[in-house]
Amino acid sequence: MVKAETISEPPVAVWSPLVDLSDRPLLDAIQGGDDALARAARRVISALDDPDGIISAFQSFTS
Amino acid sequence: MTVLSVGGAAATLRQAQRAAAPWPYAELDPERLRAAGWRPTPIRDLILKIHQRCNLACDYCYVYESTDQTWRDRPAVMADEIWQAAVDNLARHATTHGLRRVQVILHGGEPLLFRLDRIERLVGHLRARMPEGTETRVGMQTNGVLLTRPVVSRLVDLRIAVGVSVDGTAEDHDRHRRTHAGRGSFAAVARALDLLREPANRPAYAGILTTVSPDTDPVRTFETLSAFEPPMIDFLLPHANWGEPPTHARPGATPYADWLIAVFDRWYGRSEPVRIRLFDDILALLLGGASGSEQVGLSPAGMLVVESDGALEQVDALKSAYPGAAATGLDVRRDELDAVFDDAGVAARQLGPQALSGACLSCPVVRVCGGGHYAHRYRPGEGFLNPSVYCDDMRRLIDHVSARVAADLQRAAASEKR
Ligand code: SF4
Repeated sequence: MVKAETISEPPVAVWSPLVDLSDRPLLDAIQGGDDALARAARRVISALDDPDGIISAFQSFTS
Repeated sequence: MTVLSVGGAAATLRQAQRAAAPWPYAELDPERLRAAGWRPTPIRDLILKIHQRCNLACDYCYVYESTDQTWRDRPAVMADEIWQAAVDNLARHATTHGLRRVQVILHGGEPLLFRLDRIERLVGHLRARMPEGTETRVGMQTNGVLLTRPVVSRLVDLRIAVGVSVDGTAEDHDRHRRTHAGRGSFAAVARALDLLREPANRPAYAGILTTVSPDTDPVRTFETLSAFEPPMIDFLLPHANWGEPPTHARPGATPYADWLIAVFDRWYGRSEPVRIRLFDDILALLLGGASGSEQVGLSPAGMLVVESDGALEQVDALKSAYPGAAATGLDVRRDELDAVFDDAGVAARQLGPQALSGACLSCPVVRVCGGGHYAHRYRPGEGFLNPSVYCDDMRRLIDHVSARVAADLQRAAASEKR
């Protein structure tokens, strides 16, 4: 069994997103276009209140 | 079924799961996880296997061709009492957890074999039972063969959005997706997609689901699918694991990544490109967001399957690992949906980095890859605490996308400074 004290967040390799959420100016700068990257930036910004996301089984309703 | 036989069946199931997948079944304890702070993610997606049989006989089908053959013992058609219990159970779950949105996905086999009059009753019951304040969406995953004009019109009326499985060009599609008599199904599916593209029918058009196949031409596949103007394309890696590696896997080669990269390069940078779920997810993850699909990222899984006999299971993809891999031993008529959170297999899919192997935890792209699809991590006799069997492909794909995006961001940052 996993011991309670061992299940805190394990160390994950040092990695930071290409744009951190804290780097809003850059996200804002790229979100104005009509390409996939701009769309992704808009999606990230609009999901700021639900940053973790939930896996969904069906493609149509997730952005 | 007596209490004794239910208990006996559950014990046998647990024993089999512990033997086949010690991680998580012998090593994760949901109770201890909770005591240590894990908070289960409520179920948002309920997948109803309303019809267990199919009018096609695709050679790679993960339901009929996988190691798990439990569909044979289940009723072909989901009885009214099962779908009613499922809907009522979901409504209670939505109320308990104050869910703002749920979706029910009608699945099979081929869900349209269930018949539209039954589907209509099911959807009516669903919309009537869901609590006020919970948005309820209904989807359907179909092979498209039965999508005639009257059927599509009724789906529009019922506000059901359909995802259609297509393999690409007519030739590639018909090589795998055949009727029981051996005839290809592309012509019928193309007719269905043409109907769904009509403006009046577009609300019922969710997208296209396509399995990646390195023996096909990626660009021709992508262009064929794009011509159907789907709202989204969902490219899936074929189900495989360390016991049954992908058909095209070779040491030192990344045929699945190469295929996807060819599509990505054709797609990326276009103006208003069709949405491709895998690429959109990778881009969002690279920008610090989260994923909504099973193939990448570390988001918790919030979906559950109700089989036609009422069994509550995890998603079908797990059936490609070993017989019983998706089972929880629970029944939608007897057990609340919350009971699944006592299942180590369900918990494992909600733990994010805690469910990753050491190799993944030290991997530079882990936040994007997330160890890949959970089903692809399976190694017989060990379980799921492994990198994906597609590890090399995932790494190559993510590195490629990341490099393209980084170049664009540098350009954006430079123009910001000017
Ligand atoms: S690329 Fe491989 S090692 Fe890295 S997170 Fe993905 S599966 Fe794990």
